[in-house]
Amino acid sequence: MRPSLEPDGDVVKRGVPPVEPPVDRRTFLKGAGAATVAASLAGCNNPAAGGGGNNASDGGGGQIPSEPLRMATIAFTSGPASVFGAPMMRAARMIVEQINDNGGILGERTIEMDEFDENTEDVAQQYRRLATQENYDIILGYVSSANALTVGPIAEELEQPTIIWDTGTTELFDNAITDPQYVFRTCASSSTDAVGAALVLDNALSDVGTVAGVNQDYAYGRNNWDLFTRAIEAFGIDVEVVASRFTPFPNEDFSSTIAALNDSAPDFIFSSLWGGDLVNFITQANDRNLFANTLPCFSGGTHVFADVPDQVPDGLLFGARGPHFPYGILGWNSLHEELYAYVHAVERAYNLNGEYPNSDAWATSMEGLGFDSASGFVDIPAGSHNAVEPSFWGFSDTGGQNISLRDPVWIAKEQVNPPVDKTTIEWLDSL
Amino acid sequence: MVAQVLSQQVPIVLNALFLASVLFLLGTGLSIIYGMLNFLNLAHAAFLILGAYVSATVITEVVSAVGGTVGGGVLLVVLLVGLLVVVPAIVSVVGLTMERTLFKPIYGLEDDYQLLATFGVILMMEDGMKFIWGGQPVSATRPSTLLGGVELFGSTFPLWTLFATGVTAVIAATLYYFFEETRLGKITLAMAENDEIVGVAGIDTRSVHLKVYVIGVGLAGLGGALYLPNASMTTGLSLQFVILAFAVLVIGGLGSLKGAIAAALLIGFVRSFGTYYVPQLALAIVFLLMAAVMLIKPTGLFGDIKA
Amino acid sequence: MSQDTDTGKRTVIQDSLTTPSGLAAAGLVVLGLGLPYLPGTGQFEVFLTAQILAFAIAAVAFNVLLGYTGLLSFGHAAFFGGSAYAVGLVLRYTEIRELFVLLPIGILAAAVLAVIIGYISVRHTEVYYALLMLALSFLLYVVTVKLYTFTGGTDGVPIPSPTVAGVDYVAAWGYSGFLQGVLYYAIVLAFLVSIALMWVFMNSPFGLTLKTIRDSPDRARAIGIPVVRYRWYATIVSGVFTGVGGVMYALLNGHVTPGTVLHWSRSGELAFMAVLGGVGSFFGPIAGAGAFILLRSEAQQLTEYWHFVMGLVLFLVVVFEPAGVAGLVKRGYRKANELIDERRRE
Repeated sequence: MRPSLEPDGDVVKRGVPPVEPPVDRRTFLKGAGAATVAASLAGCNNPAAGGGGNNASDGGGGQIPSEPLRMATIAFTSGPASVFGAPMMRAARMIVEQINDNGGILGERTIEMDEFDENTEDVAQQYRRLATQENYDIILGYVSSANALTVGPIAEELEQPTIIWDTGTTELFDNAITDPQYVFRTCASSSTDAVGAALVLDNALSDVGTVAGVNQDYAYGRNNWDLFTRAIEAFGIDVEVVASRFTPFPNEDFSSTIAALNDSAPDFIFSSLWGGDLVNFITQANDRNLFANTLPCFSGGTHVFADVPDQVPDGLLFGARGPHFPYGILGWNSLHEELYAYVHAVERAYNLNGEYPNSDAWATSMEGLGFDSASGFVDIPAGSHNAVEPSFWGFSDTGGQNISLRDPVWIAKEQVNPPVDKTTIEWLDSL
Repeated sequence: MVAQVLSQQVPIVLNALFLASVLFLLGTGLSIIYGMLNFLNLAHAAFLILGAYVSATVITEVVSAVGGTVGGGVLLVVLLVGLLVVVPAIVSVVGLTMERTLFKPIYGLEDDYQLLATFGVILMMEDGMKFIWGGQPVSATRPSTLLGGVELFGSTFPLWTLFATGVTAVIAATLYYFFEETRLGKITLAMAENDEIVGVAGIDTRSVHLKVYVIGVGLAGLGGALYLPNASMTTGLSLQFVILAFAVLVIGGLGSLKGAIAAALLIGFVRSFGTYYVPQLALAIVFLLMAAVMLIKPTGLFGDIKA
Repeated sequence: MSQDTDTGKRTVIQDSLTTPSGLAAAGLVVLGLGLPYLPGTGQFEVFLTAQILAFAIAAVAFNVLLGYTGLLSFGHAAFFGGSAYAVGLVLRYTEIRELFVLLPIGILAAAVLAVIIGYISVRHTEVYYALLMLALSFLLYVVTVKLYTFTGGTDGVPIPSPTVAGVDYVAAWGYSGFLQGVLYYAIVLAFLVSIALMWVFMNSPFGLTLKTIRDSPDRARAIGIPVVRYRWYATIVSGVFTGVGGVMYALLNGHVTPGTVLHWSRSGELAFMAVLGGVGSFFGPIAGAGAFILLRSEAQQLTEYWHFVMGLVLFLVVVFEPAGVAGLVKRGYRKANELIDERRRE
């Protein structure tokens, strides 16, 4: 018999992370481009803003550049990771259009967006070209952690405002760029997923005794499993890790891995598989009855609900990489957060300083930014360049027209992310 | 005790056989086309990918056209006909068109330059398939779910993989019969030895040539058709299959059917048991094996063509 | 080496400086040296030129095998990436930051790999050589990906900017100053020295022996040349200089991953550059590296189906212009001469 979720209600809470204060989404989107609404959102909801009460009419006044803002967006529109990149690109297009329909940034400056495929063999060259040759004002993107780690230091060196939109690796700000100035990440790091899963295990799954892992044998999979096992140790969770499997990436054959998992018969499987690999694993595991007595937990797999709905069995535990799922797909949400983070930071700086921000003023304004987005409150803590998000989990529900998550649970963002002054590993070791 | 060993080992063996089946269908075409037509096609693996993509379309179309109106049994038969006949046929037609336009000019080149030119072809084919099917993973498991699973020594096992293994075994036997017993098979073998003499003997070598080529490409397409109901397909996987196809070719020996069978089985078992017992090294073992075979027996296990 | 060859060489060099192509080459060198100071040159042009030069070293080295020895390698990523990774791992695990220490380490790593992989691979020729190189280099790729804790797996290793002769120019001049004032010249120097050394090698008795082997291994064997050993030497020379290119690429790129430097498609790219430039010409692959990188950069900007464009170009070059860019230039040059002659006659 498979274990089921019994959240303690204290750490792991039932339901959906609250969107507070409630903002009617349509009003919000409509007003997003206009200075007044955006400024009040950026100001009032911002925990770190000194003069947060400012509204647009008494701030601002400086010259707003008349030429449009040039924005480069980069994501995989081909290859395995296009399951993330392609919807993100579509979302970016829609959101930019919305902002422009409302007049643009501060209601005046429109955004000119150019798209680039991340599937290039020369990420550094491409990034340098965009930053120094084509002089984009802002570069948004990167799905792959190897690419984010490559361009991160270059961005700092070129002093190029850059926002990473999907890469989870904790290495980015823990090791690659320890003192970031111009690089931000508006999605949660893998800590949200891996530590969140461990907390679910600790506080909602008391009957689990044995745990196994299936993760892709590349940085994302390794990073996730490493954080998950560290969290088990850090929280002193009373489970035994009976198998840890790393599969090639990409991989089409999981049969022997599944046979091995069947033999070690764990109660719970933590897996950060995604894309074609996740589909293959679920299909082949289902064929081999792996999920009969084992509860699998897929930390970043909700995108398969839309991509291959008929391959998703009912009742598997899925994480949504932040509180995204209840309000739409991951690609839409992460883009939404990223683009509005940029716009709000510019508008906030303009309204506070009275002039249109340069790169430095923008970066200062990004730190400590907080605003309500379509999927909840986006929080980039003061002193940090990384958004923190709550952890959110639920069971695949194939009953409706689209697959959704049922019986959701969530964990507050402070409990799944390190404090600003610690790296993820330092934080886990200190618990 | 015995039951426990069986329940542990049987799934691994069956997995190995399924893997070997796909590898055999992939590698045989490459091997016979090289051995008999002296054409080394780096892009051969792309025909397996093409077969898988076409299968996805065939399965989706069939299910949406008749899925609701007929029973499961009828649907399964229709799907099987589609996968086993229509898919290889479509892939062969594409392959033949490419042969006429792209490959004919490079037959005369040295092996090395054939490799380079077909490296170009694989890049084109990858993007061509991306253009048609998009960059995202494509998956259609209906035939496998219709067949369902079977209980074997305490563990459940998908019937589709057993079916695919059976189909491949029949094909391997047929091919063996073809090359050993039929006239066309003998001519082909003779052509592998000396093309010109066969031509002088009044045989239309071009037509034999095309037949062998079509069989090779069709087999790769069939490999894709048998593969897809079990796993999804993405662009970018072809580079992985390129390497595996060459592993079969090199380990088995150029142009040898027996060799392709042996090599496919060997790689299938190494990968399957390797993944189970030493997951860290599973992929590396295949290439160690490939290098080792080339060092110890450069012509491959069953090859007799001079290296 | 006898007195005669030395004098001969000097004459060759003198001659080549007075011919139009020699002058053109000298002009290109001067242009290359002055590039960062030209009006309108930004950081990106310097970066791009440096990248082309790094690949040009590797492409010329690749052609030592393909053009001069008649061996196609699908495993040069092992040397290119092996040296890049050696530098990356030294930077990761030691305090060494000095260019003049890192470069020899990278070259040494490529040399060791070339000695081992070459020793195994040269027992075969033609397609078997290509495939054995492919298998061995892919082994290195798989192992690098697998040894996550040591190598960083697919995330790769960062390559922080080195000091040069003990001076930390990045601290002194900022990265841009370092790139345009130091790293670029280091790469130009590495390029000139590598090309000169390979040119000397290929025009020495060693190079002539290789050509003899390429044209007819049997005849070479008949006149007493140890064919296998010479192929091994050629693989080592080629591997070492490919390694120089790998180190320069790593320093320039600032980060290396298995996918960008060790995957077999990188070997395919080097082959692409050599063929595009022209395997029959010593300098052709330099043009090939430049053409490849510019073409790919343009194609990527033009369409998401840029792989198709690259594939088509490679196919067309192999089928219709096997002499590559060098062949086109030669033909153009001949045409121009003919036209000039015609004019004169008129």
